[in-house]
Amino acid sequence: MKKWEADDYQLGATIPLGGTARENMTGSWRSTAIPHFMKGTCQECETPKKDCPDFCADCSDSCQRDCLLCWISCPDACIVMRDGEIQGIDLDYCKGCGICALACPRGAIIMVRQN
Amino acid sequence: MRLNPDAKQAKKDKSMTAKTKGKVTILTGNQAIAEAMRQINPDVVAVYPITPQTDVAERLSSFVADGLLDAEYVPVESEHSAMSACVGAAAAGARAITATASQGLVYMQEVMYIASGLRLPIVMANVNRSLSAPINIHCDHSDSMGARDSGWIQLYSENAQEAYDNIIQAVRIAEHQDVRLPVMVNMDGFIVSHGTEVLELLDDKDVSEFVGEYEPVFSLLDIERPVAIGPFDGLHGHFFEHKMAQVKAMDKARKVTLDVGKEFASLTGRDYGFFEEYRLADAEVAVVVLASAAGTCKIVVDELREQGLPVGLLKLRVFRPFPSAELVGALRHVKVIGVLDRSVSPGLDGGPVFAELRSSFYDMETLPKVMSFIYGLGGREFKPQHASEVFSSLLSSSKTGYLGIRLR
Repeated sequence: MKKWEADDYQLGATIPLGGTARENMTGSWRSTAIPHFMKGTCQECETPKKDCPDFCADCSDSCQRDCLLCWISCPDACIVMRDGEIQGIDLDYCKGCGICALACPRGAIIMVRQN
Repeated sequence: MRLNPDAKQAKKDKSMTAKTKGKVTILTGNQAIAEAMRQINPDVVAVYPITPQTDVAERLSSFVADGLLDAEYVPVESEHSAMSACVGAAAAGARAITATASQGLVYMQEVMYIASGLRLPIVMANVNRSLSAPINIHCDHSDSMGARDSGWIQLYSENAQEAYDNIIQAVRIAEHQDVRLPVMVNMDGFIVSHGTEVLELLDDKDVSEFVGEYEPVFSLLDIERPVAIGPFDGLHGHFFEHKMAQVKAMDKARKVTLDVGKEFASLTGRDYGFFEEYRLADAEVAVVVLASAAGTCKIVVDELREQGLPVGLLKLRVFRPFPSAELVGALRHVKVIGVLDRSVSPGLDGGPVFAELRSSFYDMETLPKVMSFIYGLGGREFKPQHASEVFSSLLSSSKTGYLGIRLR
């Protein structure tokens, strides 16, 4: 990460670059809980039909594995996506708030205490 | 009707130096500043109405609705939002203007520090009004004096003409590359804002040429050059260094204010510096005063001069940056100085102008006597008799204090 000196800034403390927030790994001040993502639980639907997040009457094509509720709920955009599938959680920025675990209808994210 | 002595003088000066012929008309102070803002033609106007500024908000929205002002008018729901909208607009690279008064200015203050810290050259008209409680809608300078440390340049206007001229000059001062700080133009509530005066307006074309095209340093909308504006300074960041840059910019605003004043004088014949000296050169006692009360004092100065008394006046126009050295230079020959403050700092002996002016003299070898007078709080009338009282106090170096207060 770049060490910013006073002279590096422009008028009004403006940073003359885009996307510099990525350099600041804010996951370093995460709470003691870390989300653990279970890919299988997310994508292989074994829950009873009444818990279907898409309210499908049967397991048709409209069934959405990777429902993305965690992705849309995460306040720090830490849910990593690739090719339309959730891959896991970016711990460089995750604060451990646990919203993803609460939002997941399939219990695919559990919060693990870390000492 | 008593003719403003300045107007006569301005007319005389104008015939000698002015390049353009303005249009003489009759307007209230509020109409005058709304007209100046229309002629400046900003990109964004975000105003919330508040007495005694309401007229400005109404006129600006009418101008936009009638197609006379090509600006985005943001009908915000509060002054906090008005200033926030201006900050956002200015950060996006737009020329932004607002106007407020009193409680509205206080409500803006959180965002005013952000405007100056981000070095956004926003121009604001503040129609001076007292602060509650008790609730009062009339003039004093408590509102703008409360914002004196917010990093805004502050100009004060004696009459509608000066308010109009100051608004136009404010754009150039704010947007100057050495400054890039917001500017607040103050005008006395009701006394000037609702008083009808004869004044001279510039042509739209002349104002347009004088203020020029605004070129932002950064724009959030410039996708070729992405920037982050207003980021967190970090736990061990450079807040102090950024504040120092702001302090230096405020210092540079001194020269820029004078340069812009000179250029404006060559256009209009109306000369603007840090202050106006009125029969001061050979005065032994003098008052220092801001804004409309200067007019009342000038009449009394003339009367006392006719009686052979060595009295003079200094009307301060630029309060931030405070022109300490120049004030000392202009007043060093005066034996007794009376400072008239239209705001009060309970617990401090004297108002803000008094405290700062007297402090400016501290390093001088021979010190004048500097006396504090508080007047006109909550619009309490300041009459020639009060100015006479001040001058007799100064001539006898006697009592100081509060003018026109009703005692039981």
